[in-house]
Amino acid sequence: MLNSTVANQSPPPLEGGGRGAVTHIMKRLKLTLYFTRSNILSAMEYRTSFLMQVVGMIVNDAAFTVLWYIFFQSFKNVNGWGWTDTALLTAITTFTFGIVFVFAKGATDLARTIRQGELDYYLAFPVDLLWHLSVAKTRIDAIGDLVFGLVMFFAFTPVTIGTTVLFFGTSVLAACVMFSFIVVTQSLAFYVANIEDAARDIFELLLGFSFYPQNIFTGGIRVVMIFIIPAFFTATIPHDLVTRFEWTGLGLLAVAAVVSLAIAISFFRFAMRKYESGNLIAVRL
Amino acid sequence: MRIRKYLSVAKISVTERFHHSSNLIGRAMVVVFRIWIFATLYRATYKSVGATMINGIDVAGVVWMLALTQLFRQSAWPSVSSLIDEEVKSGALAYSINRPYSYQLFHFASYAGRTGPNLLVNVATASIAAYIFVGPLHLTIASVLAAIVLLGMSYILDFLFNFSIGMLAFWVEDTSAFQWIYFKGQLIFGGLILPLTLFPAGLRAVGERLPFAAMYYSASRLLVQFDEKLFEQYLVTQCVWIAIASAIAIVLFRKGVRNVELNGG
Repeated sequence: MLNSTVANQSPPPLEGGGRGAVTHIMKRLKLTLYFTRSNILSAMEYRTSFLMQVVGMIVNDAAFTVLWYIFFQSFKNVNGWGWTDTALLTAITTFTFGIVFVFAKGATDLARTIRQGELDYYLAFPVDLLWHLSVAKTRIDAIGDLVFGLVMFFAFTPVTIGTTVLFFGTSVLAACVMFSFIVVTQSLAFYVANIEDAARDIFELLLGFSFYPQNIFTGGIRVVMIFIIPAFFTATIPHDLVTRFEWTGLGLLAVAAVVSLAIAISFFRFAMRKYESGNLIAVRL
Repeated sequence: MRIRKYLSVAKISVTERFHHSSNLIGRAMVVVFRIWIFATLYRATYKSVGATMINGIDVAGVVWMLALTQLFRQSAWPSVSSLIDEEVKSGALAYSINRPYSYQLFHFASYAGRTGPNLLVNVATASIAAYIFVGPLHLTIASVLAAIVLLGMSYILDFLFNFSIGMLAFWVEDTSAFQWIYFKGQLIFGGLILPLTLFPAGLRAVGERLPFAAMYYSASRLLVQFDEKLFEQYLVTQCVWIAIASAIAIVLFRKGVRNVELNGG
């Protein structure tokens, strides 16, 4: 069982909608934690399976890191980029991936949900559609990514209060960008049939860019990483901020997070007009 | 003719792959970007150590090797292990094994049918992209023939391992962990990101005996630079691993189907 879902539970209603945006966001975050906690507790009913998934993902991440370790045994550095840089980059990328897939896995299934006409179920609730379907699912093995990211950070980075705060802060902002990218690519399913595999491949490209030495990407490839596959915001800037903090970089990342979220939400809402119910009748227990 | 039904299964898979053109385009995009990344990475790497050749291979050779290895492996997607895992868990296998065909051959035919179109599109895309980024690949008749033999054997070997992993679903709730371990073995020793040629010597010797390097990497390595001794070595390694993997697949299938309970209805 890879994913755990509480989609068949009604989200508790949001109260006090007129008390301002901050209160509203705080309540959404609280509800997100509620969903995730329920998903995790549900998955933990099968202890062995739960542990296998989490440990399996840690082994998976470790294998990838071993490959880079071997690479840097053969070549000590690439343009001044060494093993410790890659270790930090891996920590940030896996932690960011973990945040998205633990708290908002539903977004990564959006194309399939659309194709199967399963949005009908979510449409019946008086809450934001994108938020609800995103937080309804948790990828259990992604907990392993969160753990691995933390281990890599504490093992290979000079840990201070500053770098720790930056690690967590930039990872959250990078997660916003990653989530937005997923929503946009998955929402293409409103226009193109059977886009699931392609959307997944494109997302894997984002991950692909995020594990390589970032200082080798210049010129055209850097432009692609800023405007098409946003690895510049999910990998390059977070890595640079933890190693050499600059306010400009932090500002740029924050703006990218807000703008990408705005684009993703707008695009999803616009594309939703294309949605046609499949009149799927299903029993949810 | 018995073979006809398996050819029909393969034909259905071919039609299905070409029908979902958006997926093929998405895959092609990934291939192009990956080759671009490899070209950028290895140009910078060779420049950093001030070398034009490492172990007899230049940047263009490395990029072609990685591009070919990745496209060969990627063409075999989706993995047979995940499909069988799903069949076992959903109970669909109970129906499949009662049909008038061999369950193993059905999956192999379907696998071949999926892989063919993917391979065609990926080879075309990767060749154009690699040509643009690092220039042409100089082929010889010997290198092409050797690569064809090794590639065919690679697909059989990969199928057998994936089939065995899928069969594990009879005993474990989820075979993902085994799939990951297998994929990561391919990632590290299968020459998908770092060719074995560039490994430290001790590790390279170990890697070349494992099934992962004997798969797709062997074909791309020989295609880039033919070496008769290496060809023989990879061929022997493949034969040994195919024998081992076949035995594992047969044993797991025989033991696994005993666990199937048909309740009718």
